[in-house]
Formats: sequence, structure tokens, C-alpha cells
Amino acid sequence: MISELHKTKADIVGLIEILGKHLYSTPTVAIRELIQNSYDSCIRRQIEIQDPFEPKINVKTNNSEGILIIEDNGAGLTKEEIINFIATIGSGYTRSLRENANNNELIGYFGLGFLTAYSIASRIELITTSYKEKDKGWKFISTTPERFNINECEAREVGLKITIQLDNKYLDFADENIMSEIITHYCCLLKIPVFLNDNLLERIIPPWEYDGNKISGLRTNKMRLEFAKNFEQSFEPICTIPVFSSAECDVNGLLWIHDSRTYNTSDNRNVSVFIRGMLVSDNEIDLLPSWAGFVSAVIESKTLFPTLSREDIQKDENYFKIQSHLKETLIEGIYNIVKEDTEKWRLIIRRHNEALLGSALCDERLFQIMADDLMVPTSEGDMTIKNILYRAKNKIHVTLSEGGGYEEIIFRSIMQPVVLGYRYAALSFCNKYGTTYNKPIIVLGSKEGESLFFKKVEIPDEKRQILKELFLEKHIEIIPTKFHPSYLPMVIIPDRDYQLKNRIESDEADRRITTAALSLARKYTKELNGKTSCRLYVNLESPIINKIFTIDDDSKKQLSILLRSLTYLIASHNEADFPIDLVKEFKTFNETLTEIF
Amino acid sequence: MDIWKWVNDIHDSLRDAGEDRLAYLLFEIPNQVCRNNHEHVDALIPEALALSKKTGNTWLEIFFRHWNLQSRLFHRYEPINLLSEAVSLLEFSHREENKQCPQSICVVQDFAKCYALLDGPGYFSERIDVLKETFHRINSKWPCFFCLTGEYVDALCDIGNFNEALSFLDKQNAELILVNDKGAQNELCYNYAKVFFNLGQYDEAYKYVKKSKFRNGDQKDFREKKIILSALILAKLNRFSESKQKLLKFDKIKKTHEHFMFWAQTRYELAINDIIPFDLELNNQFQFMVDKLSNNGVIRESINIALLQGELLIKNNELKAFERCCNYIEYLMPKLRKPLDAYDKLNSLRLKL
Repeated sequence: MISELHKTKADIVGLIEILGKHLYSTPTVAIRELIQNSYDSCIRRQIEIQDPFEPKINVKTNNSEGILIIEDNGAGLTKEEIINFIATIGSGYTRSLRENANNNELIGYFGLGFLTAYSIASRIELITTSYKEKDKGWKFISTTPERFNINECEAREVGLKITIQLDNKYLDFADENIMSEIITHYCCLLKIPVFLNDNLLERIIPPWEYDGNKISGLRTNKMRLEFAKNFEQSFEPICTIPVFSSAECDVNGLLWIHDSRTYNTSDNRNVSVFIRGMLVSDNEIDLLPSWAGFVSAVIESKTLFPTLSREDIQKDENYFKIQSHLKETLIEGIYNIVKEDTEKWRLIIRRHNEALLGSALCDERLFQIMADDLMVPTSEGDMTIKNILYRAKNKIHVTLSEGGGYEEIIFRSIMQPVVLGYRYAALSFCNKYGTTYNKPIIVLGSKEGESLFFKKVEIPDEKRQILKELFLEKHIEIIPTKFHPSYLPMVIIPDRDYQLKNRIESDEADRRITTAALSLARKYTKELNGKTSCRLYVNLESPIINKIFTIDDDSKKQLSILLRSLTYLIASHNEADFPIDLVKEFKTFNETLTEIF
Repeated sequence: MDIWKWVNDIHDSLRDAGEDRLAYLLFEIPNQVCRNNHEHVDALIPEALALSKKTGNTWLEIFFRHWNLQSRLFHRYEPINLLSEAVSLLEFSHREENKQCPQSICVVQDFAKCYALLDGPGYFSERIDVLKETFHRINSKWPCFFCLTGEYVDALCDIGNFNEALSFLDKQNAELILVNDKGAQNELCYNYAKVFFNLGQYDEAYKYVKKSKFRNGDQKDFREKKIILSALILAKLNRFSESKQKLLKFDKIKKTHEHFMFWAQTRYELAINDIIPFDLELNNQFQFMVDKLSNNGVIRESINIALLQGELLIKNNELKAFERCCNYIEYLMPKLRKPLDAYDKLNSLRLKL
């Protein structure tokens, strides 16, 4: 096979079209990019010349003519710089300046910011005077990214002014109110003052810039809440948790917990990321743990880098460091609230109890912090596990189905709460609690739960014989026990293994399940108990059961028929477990009663 | 065959019937499984089962029970606790009223997976028989075709039939080409990577793992699997710094036990080549994996990780710990269905001392 070497070709015009018009998801990003260029130009002036000056950026709108002007008093550009940096795609000056001056305050990176202006403009005019040659001015005019005109013009104040004739689709950008919203959205933390039509747009001072020595703790808290409200469209904050940089992780910010009710896995996370005061992304929710659906954040970092579109953050090592730092801060913050602000903590539980149950399952430390405060749903309303343990004699009973059967009768009568394990996180949380603090979890309907609940009691042989004669049926095991309420004489519970074994080993299964799978399944069921289909628990606390040992044989027999039918009727809420003839049982019950009376 | 069609349809009808919560859980649970958020899955499953039982739609119950097994078997390796459930679900999903449910195929796979985890090589022939007959129930247009192929390849690799695994993959790939299922083909690359890795063809393995892609876009569980296998292959290619950089931290994989084997193998390669120290922390991590897997009933894999740990203990001259490690392997042996070469491996390890 002959291999041929070819040089890759580039369709520059097409590429420019893509970069200028399709790189960003929203045209408002173009405004941000232009303001950011102005900001970087001001920083450049600060770095390269020692003259003190007051940097500023002024945005002007002319609604009637569809014009937008962005002006700064930064370093300005020489003719060569216009050609090398403005008109050469991908060749931003900022990147080399950052590297040479080792300066962390610059924002630009890719040399693409100016190009975005074409996505909203039908004509661009740039007039600039560089600090290097204050007596010269240059005018750059362009209508498409691939062509421009440059001429010398009258010198102006050092800096740069871009006049954009807006494309018909984007005339809205010449509206002062709309522009005010856009600038506030992206630049509210920018440290250089931004004016709109000569009026200063108020900068929001982020909490990480507060001077702790000058502001009281109470006031700081209030200001943090106010700050959070600026970024929270849907949920008022209940409380805030500050994020501070550490030696390993450069990030400042603020986390807050929403004052709105969440339901289990509701995910209302919202994270805005600023890089040197400029909003890069307001959708970085993965920086917060997945269990924190009730938390939002604003962060600022100099170590995060935007992606080429500058609307996302690069998932590099710093990103993951910050992700982990935020998680730790949040956990520590919650810990502090639990310990120091009982009132807030109660409110948080009221709002987010279910979501917090899920969080506690995801993080061991959160579990330790919150285990005794969170509430789980029970048959008697929401309760803490401590309360459940107190009420249920140091045990946690859990049901996985809604109502019916002996469980309901027993627990209603003894007034003990049963955890509704079919509700979000309830069973998992109880299991974790039980494992951690060595508390027995009794899942009603499970074999383990059954043996914990109904303990076998030894009785004299003579009584055992009576029970056997009255109640013994094929495959039914009779177990004397004691439980409350005493008015429930017997309980019958099916053996799941027996049922499974019978089904898998039936001829019917041969018709339904393929050979190899069935053969493997039978290997499993072969080991299972095949003797006991049901366990009949006879309650020795019951006066009726005790009576049975003392009455004459005929009465014994009649009573046992009644009890048997009653027990099956109670158990019949799940017909799949007891394929009994309900009508027949009712008839027997009635006929026997009629016979007695 | 669009096995999700009925799920989409029932989602809409549940919404129409005002069963919004159940409709939500229908997609939420698979999403959480695929994001490896298994605590969320545990928190949601009992509710989903209770709600689906209330509707009386048994297909819904099968669906949720299957996804519970996906989380706890395929990702968290808990066969010993779940064998009964897997058998019970197999029976339930093959009842008359459920036999048309597409998930009944997935359930057979869940069931076979239990035995793959308990002792993959020990149950080799039974697994292959189950998979073969399940292939007869579907064709290459089913997404299950890919999943079953993966299980089949794993079974062959378990007994060292790597060349047969490769031929089998080629055959399956050819079938996918016929139906133009590029998504499944991309996903198949992960299996190719595993087979080439086992054949010692690491360059080829790396090429395939890089190419591998989950058919439904970026999915966290697949992404993690890919990263972990890449790190292992890179270590075998002596590209240690890349391997070290790529490998996920232990905290990230601690709760997803399916990653243990490759993660341990990578750490082993890095430590045996003096790229990272085999320190107390790493030894504890190995011990954690060995204990966790053996407690879960994943005996063969637990032994294989313990064997790696043993070699590292020899390297560090930790003789007492090495003896304890060997004794533990010995204790696990009878729990295997068939020891096969496990005793030989242990003897070779002892001879290295």
C-alpha cells in the first residue's frame, strides 16, 4: 500500500465563521468578551507603565441608531498590535503578557474575544491610541472577520473605543435596560468600574473581599445573605457557608442552603463560576456533590480555566481540587450549623429532611452529624430514630408495604411506630443507623424480621400436643410464642423459600423458563428448605389460646376452626402468598359461630 | 427491538393517570445507577417497588427489581445477598403474564451474573449454556445483544480462552455491522480492549479502549470503567506516569466494587515497578477490597486481589503480613465452587518468598 503525505488545508473564512458565529451558545457572550478585552487592556496598562491612572470601562447604547460602544482607558493599541493581535485570530496579547509578567489578574486566553463581535455586528469601528505613542491614533474598520481597513486618525485619550453597528437581529443590545442586565450578569464582580451611558453600574462586593476587622459577624452574615440573593432566582437562602482558599486550593466563594422545600432527589443546585471577577459559567452544578440538591454557590478562582467557548470550565486537576474543597467546606459548614445554630438547623430540617436523609447515606461524616436529628416517616408520623427506639423498646420496625395484615393490627394496638420503609431513603437510613449504632432493624415480612419478632417459647409437651392436634396441617410449622396485642391469637406467615422452591421446581417452570437457566436455578433451590410452607405463630399471651388448653374437646375443635379461619382471613391481604378460598373461609367461620350460639 | 419503548409508553400513561412520582422514578432510578449513585438507588428502590405493586403492573415491578440488581450486582458485586432475589425474579419475570416483558432477557443476564461473581471460572459451563440459550431469544438488533456478548466474553476470559473470546467478538461485531449498530460496535471496543489486554497485546488494547464509547452518549459508569482499564493498560505499556495520573483515587471507586480488580492490578503494576510505594495506606486499601469482595461472596476476585497483595508484601519483606495473607487465601479456597488453578497460584506465591 502506498502512503501519501498531504498537508491539511484550512478554510479560513469558514473557520472564522464558525469561531465568530457558532462558538457561543448565546450572543450575550460577545458583550462579555468585549468588556473582558477592555478589562485586560486596563490591567496591561497597570502592568506595563507605572503612571497611576484610574481604569474604567464605559458602555454606551444608541437605541435609535442600533449602535453599541465599548470604550476603555486601557493600554490602547499601536498599528502593529492591531494587526498582530486584533486581526490575527488566536493570537491574543493577554496570554503572552500573563506568561511574561507572571500576572494572574488577566482574564483573556485564546485571542478569540474580538472575533465574537462579528457575531452581533454588521460593522465594527475601532479607534485607539496606545500609551506607547500618545500622539497617534488608529482607526480600524471592518464588516467581516476576513477583511479590515486601517488608517491613521487623530489621536485620542489613551485607550480604545469600539463602535458596533448592531446586526438587525441584535438591535436589542442597544437598549439601555437590556444592556444593563447583561453587564450586571457577567461583570457584577469585576474590579474595574463599568459605566453604562456614563452612569456607574454598582459593583457587588463579594463576601470574600469583606474586611473581617471592620464588619461585625452579624453584619457579615446579613451581607452574605444579601449577596446570595443576587444570584438566586428561585430560592431565598436560609443561611450561607463561606468558602475560603487554602494552601492547596485557590477558591473563594459562598455556598447557601435554599429556603424552599425539597423532596428527596430534587436537584436545585446552581453554581456560578467567576474567573477574576468575570462570570464564565452559571451552570457548573457538578462542582457541588450530587447529594447537595438544596445548595447553590458562587465561587471565584484564578486557577480555573474556561473551555474554548468560555462558557464551561475545563475539567482539569484544579477543577477536581475545587470540587473536593467545596464538598469539604459544605460538610464542615453543615456541621457548624448543627452545633451552633439550632434554630437554623431546625428550619433546614423542616425544608430538606428528605434530601438530607439521602445526603447522610452518601457521606459518612454527614451521617454522623445528622443521624439523631433527621426524621424518618413512620406509621405515627415523622420521627427521629431516637424517638422510634424509645417508643419501640430499642428496636426499629420497618414495613415495605402499605398497610394490611397482622403487622398493622399488632403495631396499631401496641402503639409502636413502624418506619414506612417504602418512602424515600427511610429503609436505607434505618439500616445505616442500625449498623452504626448496633440497633436491631426488623423488616416486617422478612425471615430475619420474623424470627426477631416472634421468639419461640418452650411449652409443656401436653400443651404442644394439643396445638398439634388442633392446628397441624401438611407443611405448616406450629411455633408457640408470645406477643402483643393479646387479642390477636395467631399469626400465619408464608415461607418465601418454600414458595420459590415450589415454583422453580414445578413442571410449569419447565414450560416457561429455558433449560439451562432453569437448571441453574434448580441448583439453588435444591438447597432450600422444602418442608415448611408456613409458620403458624400461636400467641400464648392470648386469653383465647389459653382457654383452648382448658375446655372440652368439642369446644376445642370448634374454637380452633374459628381461630384458623380468622387467622387466614387476616393474612389474606396478600392473596399471592395464601391462595386460599376466602369465601370458603368466611363460610366456615360463620357456620362454626352459628353452631356455638 | 426497542426495549425502552414500553418504558416510554408507560411513562406517558402514568403521567396521564396522575402517577407522576412513579413516572419520574422510571427514569430516575436507571439514571442514578448509571451515575454510580448507588446510595440514591437504595433510597429510591423500596418506594418504586411499593408504588409499582399498587398499580398492579407486574412489568413495572420487574423493571425496578432488575435495576436494583443492576446496581447491587453489576456495580456493587453483592451476589451472596442477591442470589435468592435473582432466582425469584427469574421465576417472576417468566410467568405467563410477564413473558413478553423485554426485561425478562435482562433478568436472565442478572441471574447469570450472580454465578459469574460467585465463582466465574467455577460456573463457566453453566454460564455459557444460559447465555447461549438467551442469545436464541434475541437478535443483534436488541441492545441485550451487546450486554450478553460482554458476559460471554467475560466467561471465556475467566477460563483463559482469550483467542476464542476474540473470535467470538469478531463474529458478534460482524452481526452488528449487518444491522449497522454503530453504538453497540463502539461499546464492543471495551470488550476488545479487555481481550487484547488478556492476550498481552497492550498497544492494541489501548487503541480499543480509547475507541470505546457508550452507545447512549457519555455515561459516568462507562466513563469510569474506561478510565480504569486505560490506566491498567498504560501501566502494562510502562507508561507509568500517564497511568498514575489517570487512575482514579481510591475514594472514588471504594463504593463501586466492580472497579476493584483492575484498580488493584494497576496499583500493583505501579508499586511492583517502584513508581508508587506499597505503603500502609495502599495495603489497607488492598485489604479493604479483599474483605469487601469475600464478604459479598465474590470469592475468586477476592483471592486474585489477595494474591497481588501477597506479592507486594513479599517485595516489602513483610513476612508476617504475607503469612496472614496466604492463610486468608487458603481460608477462602473452599468457598470456591471449583478451585481450578487457585491452589497452584497460591503455591507459586509462597515459592516466591
